[in-house]
Amino acid sequence: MVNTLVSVKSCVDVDSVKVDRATGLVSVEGVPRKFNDFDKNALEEALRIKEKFGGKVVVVTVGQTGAREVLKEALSMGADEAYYVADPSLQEFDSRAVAIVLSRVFSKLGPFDLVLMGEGSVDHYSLQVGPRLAELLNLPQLTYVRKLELNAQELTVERDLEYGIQIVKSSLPAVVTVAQEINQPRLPTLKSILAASKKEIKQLTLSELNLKADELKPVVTTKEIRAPKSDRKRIVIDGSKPAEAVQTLLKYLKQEGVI
Amino acid sequence: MMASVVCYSEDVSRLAELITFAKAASQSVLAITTSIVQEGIASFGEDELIVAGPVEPQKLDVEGVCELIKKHISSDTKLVLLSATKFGKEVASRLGAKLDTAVSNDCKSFVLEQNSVKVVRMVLSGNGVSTEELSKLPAIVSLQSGLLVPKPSEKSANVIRVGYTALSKSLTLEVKSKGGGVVKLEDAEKIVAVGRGVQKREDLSMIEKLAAVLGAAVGCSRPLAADLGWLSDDQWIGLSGKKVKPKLYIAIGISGQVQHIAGMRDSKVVVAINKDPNAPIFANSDYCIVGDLYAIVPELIKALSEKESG
Repeated sequence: MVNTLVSVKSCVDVDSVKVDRATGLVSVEGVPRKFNDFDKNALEEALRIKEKFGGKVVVVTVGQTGAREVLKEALSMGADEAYYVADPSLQEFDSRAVAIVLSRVFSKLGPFDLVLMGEGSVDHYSLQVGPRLAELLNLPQLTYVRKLELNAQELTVERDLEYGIQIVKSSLPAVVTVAQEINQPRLPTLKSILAASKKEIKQLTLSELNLKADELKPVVTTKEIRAPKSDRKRIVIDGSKPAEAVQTLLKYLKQEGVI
Repeated sequence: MMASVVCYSEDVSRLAELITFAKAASQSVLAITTSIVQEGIASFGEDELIVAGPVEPQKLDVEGVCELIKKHISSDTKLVLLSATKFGKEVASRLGAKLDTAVSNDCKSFVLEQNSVKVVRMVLSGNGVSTEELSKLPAIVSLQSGLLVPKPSEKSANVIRVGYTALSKSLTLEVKSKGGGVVKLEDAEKIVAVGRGVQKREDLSMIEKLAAVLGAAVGCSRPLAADLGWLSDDQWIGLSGKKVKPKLYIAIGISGQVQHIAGMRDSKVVVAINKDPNAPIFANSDYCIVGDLYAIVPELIKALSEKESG
């Protein structure tokens, strides 16, 4: 039996952000949200572990916005229980706050053998929550994991690093953050969607976790987001006459000094 | 010693960059590394250079390095600078919890203010450049490398050698190299990258031929590595794949999702070949060939081979 806590996030759909042409500022308000891609890989891995060893998969998300949609999707994929942590006294959670909340969820809903999450989120990509949580729980952290094997209360993972693939062995419990290469997340089936509709999405408040909004006030705040400048030349070459198009391209590339 | 900026990197050349940044922001700078440091190494203006270990990068543990840095942080410390390697970012984040303070990873720049630190970093998978304020000190910032050229000072560094204690409960069994022998995409001067516009696996031979005549490495967008498995994960360029900056990047049949752009944004010259004139890749390209890759690529191979032999 392996009980896994999976942290999931509702992210801004990065392909739908709006740019104010006049100011160059990016607005994320009212932009559709979606299940963080990396966290979906983490959930898939947790489900595979459950199918092999038994146990349960508990998903949790911190914050209110988009929480229900993401948790519903997680339940449809096969998660057993779903929680969101929200409180009227706190609107914004930074990475520090999310890690503190998760450390309390770990204790309250545990014991867990494993915590899984994506290595980052597609919107903020702060990469902090896994290592921060590991420190708060005094557990080993295994980040950038692209392969995971469990046996007899021991975990062996492959970590994708700049200089190579590091193979690491660790005791349990441990905090693991996964890379997208680890698996291909399943699509919910009609049957699993129906089964999920019977499962309840539960809320946890800060006081239930013995936390006060004051302790979780953001220490990192976003002041502004600007659209990145693209100073590409965008010279269009008509490809309907391939030989001519190629000659035109090569002339340009010679001018650039790259061939 | 008391220093307002503490720099750590597992790599000496990256550490030199950090110190140069730190000196521009503050008078007192303490540098720490776990790398091998030769006697008489140049100073970059740091007051002291602490060498712990040394330990090979593969054998470093996050917990041990966090403890090492923490030991040298005083009430005067306003900022801890790390290099934004995968290891550096892990250390930054875990240390952030250890010190219960603010962290930003993968930053492009920072400004040290009286009671806060402001940083600039990419967000929204490359669709936004964000300015963030870290309002709890000491703030921890991991900086991307290659943002400046370090300037050594005349005198050699004041080196203090200390021991290193590993603390991790996990154990490294082995480090495998990724596809040895092949040019690393990150170091390639030219890259031919291929996407879903290629219809059959066999057609990749055409792409490889083009790469060969150009002397380029072959990369791909996510579907070809993760979904189809036609190319290896090590060839995947994008937000969660490789980040590359060649002199020439040729994107063939790649639509150009933001996640892909995030991996190749820093290329010098970008060429895209795509039959869809509205493909987002064109907004991020210098030369946009709107046409059928199956007609253009063979023509390109032919022209380049003639150039070679002529």
